[in-house]
Amino acid sequence: MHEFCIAQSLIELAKRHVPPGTMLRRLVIEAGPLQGIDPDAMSWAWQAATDSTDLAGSKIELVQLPWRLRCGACGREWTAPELSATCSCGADEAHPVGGADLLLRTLIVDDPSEEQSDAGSGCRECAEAQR
Amino acid sequence: MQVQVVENVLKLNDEIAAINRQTLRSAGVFTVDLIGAPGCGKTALIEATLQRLKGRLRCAVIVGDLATQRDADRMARYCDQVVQINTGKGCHLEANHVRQALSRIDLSRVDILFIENVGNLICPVGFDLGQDVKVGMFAVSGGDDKAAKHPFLVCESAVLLLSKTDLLPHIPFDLELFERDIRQLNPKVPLLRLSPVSGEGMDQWVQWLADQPAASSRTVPYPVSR
Repeated sequence: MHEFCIAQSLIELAKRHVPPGTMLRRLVIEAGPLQGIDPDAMSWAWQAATDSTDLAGSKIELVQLPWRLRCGACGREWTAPELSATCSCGADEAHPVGGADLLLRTLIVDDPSEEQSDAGSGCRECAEAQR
Repeated sequence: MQVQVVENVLKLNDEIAAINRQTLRSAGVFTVDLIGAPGCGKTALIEATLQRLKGRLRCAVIVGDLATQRDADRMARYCDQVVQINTGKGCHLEANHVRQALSRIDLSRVDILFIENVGNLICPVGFDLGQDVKVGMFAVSGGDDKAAKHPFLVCESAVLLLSKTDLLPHIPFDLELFERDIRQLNPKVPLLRLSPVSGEGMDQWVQWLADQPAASSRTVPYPVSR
């Protein structure tokens, strides 16, 4: 499955960036529309791929980027949620520009040393909300 | 704690692909990554291409399949440097597969390297192998809607092939719709219609290959889409 292939590549990259001694909680990726990633399938694939690894239990957040389109007739560029050939100038010559982005943007990790120093300094509900 | 990464997800693959590209270009090899669905005729195309290039350009082939050596055995009849990669459960080739295969090829005897990717229109598209061009292959037998359904392949390909045109009299296939779908996604990509069985279009395909600038003489950087 396409999303599983991406999850496997992501695991290796994430492991490079998770600071030693911390635990990965969540990671945020951005994907252009050409990647064709389904959010539910990506969550499932991440869960399956990380099972029995150090990253088990972490969640993945997918930010889906819009299509960037350029009109072949008037040159106008715009972004749209769907692929459409029609430009405001009336021509049916719009085509996608780029759209293959696949970026690991952010890791959110738990730092046990920070949690120890914060122990007793605030209420438990606030600490949970901050996660 | 947040850690800002901002890196391409496939960075680790791309690092190896860059090494492959350097190796191939240093050897003056032009490399094609052929991507298409199972059964679209990738192996038959390469077999027919190898026969037509004999005496003109020296070829080598890396072929990826989940299992068996069958494709490599077929192509070995026309080429003495064929390497089969069996991926097991892997649905696409990655740069590391190609790196391993290159160690088994004498690149000093190669002008064109064909990489026949695992049969799959989706996953192989995103993985850089170190090639000069990706070639997307569709077949008449696959239906006229496949280009619209696989925009990533259409947008990433340097040339698109529509194979098995000998079947057009027998299978409903709206050529106009197929081409219109391609033009909406990638207005300038060449589309070659061909049939290794009848020979239609094969001269144009071989000429397109022969016209590509040799890697060693390339002055324009490889157009990385990411």
